Amino acid sequence: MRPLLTAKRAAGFTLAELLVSVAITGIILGILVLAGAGINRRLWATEKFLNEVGNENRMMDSVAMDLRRAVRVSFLNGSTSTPIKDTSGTYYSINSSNTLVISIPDYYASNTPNNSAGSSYKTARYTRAALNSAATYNSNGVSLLNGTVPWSDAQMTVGGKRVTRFAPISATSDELQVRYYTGARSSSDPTVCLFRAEYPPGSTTASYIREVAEGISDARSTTLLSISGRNGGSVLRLQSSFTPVFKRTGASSATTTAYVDVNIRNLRRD
Amino acid sequence: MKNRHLSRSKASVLLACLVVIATIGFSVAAYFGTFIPKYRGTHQGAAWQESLHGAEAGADYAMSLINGWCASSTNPNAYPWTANSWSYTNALYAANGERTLDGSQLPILGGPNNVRVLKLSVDVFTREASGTSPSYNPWFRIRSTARADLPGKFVSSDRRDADLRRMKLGAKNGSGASDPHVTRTVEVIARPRYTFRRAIVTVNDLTLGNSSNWRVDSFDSSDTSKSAPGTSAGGIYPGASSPEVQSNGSIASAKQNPAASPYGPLITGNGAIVKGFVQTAGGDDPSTPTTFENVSGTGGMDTTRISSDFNEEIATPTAPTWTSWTYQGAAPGAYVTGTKAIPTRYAITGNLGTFAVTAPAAGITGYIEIIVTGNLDTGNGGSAGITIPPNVYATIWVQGNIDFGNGNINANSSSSQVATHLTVNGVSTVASPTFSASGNANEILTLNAPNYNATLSGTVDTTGAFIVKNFSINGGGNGGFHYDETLGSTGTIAGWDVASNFEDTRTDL
Repeated sequence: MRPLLTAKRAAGFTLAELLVSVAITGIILGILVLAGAGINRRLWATEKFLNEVGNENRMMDSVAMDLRRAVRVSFLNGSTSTPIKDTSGTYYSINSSNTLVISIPDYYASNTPNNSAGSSYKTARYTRAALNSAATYNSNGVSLLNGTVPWSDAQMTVGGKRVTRFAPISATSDELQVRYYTGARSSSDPTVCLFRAEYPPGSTTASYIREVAEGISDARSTTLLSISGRNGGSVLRLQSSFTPVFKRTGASSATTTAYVDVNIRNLRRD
Repeated sequence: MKNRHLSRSKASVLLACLVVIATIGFSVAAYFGTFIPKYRGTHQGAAWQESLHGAEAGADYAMSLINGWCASSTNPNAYPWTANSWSYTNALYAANGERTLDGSQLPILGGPNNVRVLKLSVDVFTREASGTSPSYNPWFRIRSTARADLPGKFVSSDRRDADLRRMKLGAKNGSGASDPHVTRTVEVIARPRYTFRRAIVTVNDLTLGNSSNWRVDSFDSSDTSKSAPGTSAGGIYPGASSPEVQSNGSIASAKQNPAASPYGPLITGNGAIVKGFVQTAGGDDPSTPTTFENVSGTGGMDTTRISSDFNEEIATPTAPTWTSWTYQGAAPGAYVTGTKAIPTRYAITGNLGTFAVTAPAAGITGYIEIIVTGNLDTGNGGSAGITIPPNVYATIWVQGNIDFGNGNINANSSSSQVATHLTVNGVSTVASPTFSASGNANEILTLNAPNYNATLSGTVDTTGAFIVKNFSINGGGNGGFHYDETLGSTGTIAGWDVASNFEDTRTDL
């Protein structure tokens, strides 16, 4: 009898054993579920953080690239335009109602987008090939002037200094306006994006609009881009910030902020 | 029975382990799949920034070359391009065509992303063709393209990165190996910087007149709308109340405060009117943007035009070494002129006083060069001074002191009355040579004497531009200093400035 009883006990579990094992399994599964949820939350927060860092870098890189070659920089609110020069530490935030307006040289032969190779959209107004061969540049009484841009078309005086004129004197202007602003991607897509729009000289219609960053504002956080100026507007500071969402409650207590100082290479005309 | 039971236990543990490993594996794969492209985007952005540094370094290299050459050659059309490994892209267009730097000489910045300049070219964008006697000096166009290696051929997680950075992820090198990289191109237009770009530049102290009427302003002798009718050489200063008077009479001092007390006055304004920019080399406290510690007595200045960013080298002129000359000896009674290519050359041993240059025949422009080993002292009185006819250009090097007394320097009715026609270089190397003028002297010239202490007394009226060591005025009265804006676009090239800087972001690469 004893061996038989022992065999039966070895083959099964007592209720107590079953309860203990179920409890332990439950605890382990609970830990796994909680850990998984935590990991998932961290992964989501990390991905959001990286997206926002990417947006931040791209926004500041794009604006800084235009600022370096700018000849005018202003802030447009409604119809009020304010040149950004010495702002005494005040930052102007770019958003749907405040537009950053950067005037850059109207350098290219055309501003109508055309991505085909060698198109006038992608060609300088005064290429060496054109200067070498076009009759416009090679009919001078003084032979030394052949192959160059005519003096009257090539320069202008700003603040007592001669600077490059980027379009002929007969043109409306030699400046191309670039505007940065935020807004919904479209009427059917409310995703908030930062846009870069190019306005050819004298035009109130953008010839080209590029999306620089998407999802810069949602229920959890907003990536801000703002600008300030000093040294008479020859140095501009871009500041971008957002609030990481690593805490369970959503936002953490501190924002993360990046700065880029840009020296404007050209003499400002405003 | 016992063996079968043990086998089931081992199988359960193995299964559990596989599930855990698979879960971790999927997590890690998801992590890398999601996040690595985002980190890659940051790396690509860094390489994109580095390639701009490379492109700008290339442009700086070319600027450095032409700035160096202008110190040894006054003719920008004769710069030693070929001797410095530059060659024409198309030899048919030699006058203004494109030159490129030999590949072996292109700047290499190095670093983990192997930043280097790919192409550096220079051509003539335009030539200065204004005025009655244009210089045709070139404005050079410098194009510099540089590259930086990318971390791999894979795209980042955001297509907008590709739109902005225009990376060449699928590029291959000459041997067909993968060569992902990014390039950026900048174009710089370099314009000549002439010696006399401001009314007054000092190496040290700059003290303006303390009379309420004394002023620094400007006009343009080559523009009839910015000057009064003068001589055949050009217009004259139209008078302080004239609407033709301009506001580009800038002044600057290179003096610096001690490092221990960097903020404080470097120019003494004395309330004098300055119609132009006022620049010092530091001295202004950036924490007080509405106060200008670098200049005192700013009552007559436009404070929006005061800055502390003057940062230019002031080169000291030297007398030329002649192998032949027209005349050598004590000051003669008459001075005649030659051509631009072969000017007459007078080597005056000792002092030189009042003198007049004989005008060449009508329709001919004469040139004369004079070296004075002693002082240039024109004395006082009604006939004291220097006469430079309208069709004459005179250049004088003085190895002693300069004293114009109360005379008329290129200002009497027989003179050109235009500053570009008389250049005086103070080349003394003693400790403190002097320049002086007094009374109601009227002087129309350019003075390049960075080693000289200049002192004006009385109501001296000056038209032109000065570069001196120290500048001060005792009195001032109704006198003033009138910068001729023509000087800003003519004369000797002292260096090259950036007229514009543009990053070319559309051109096919």
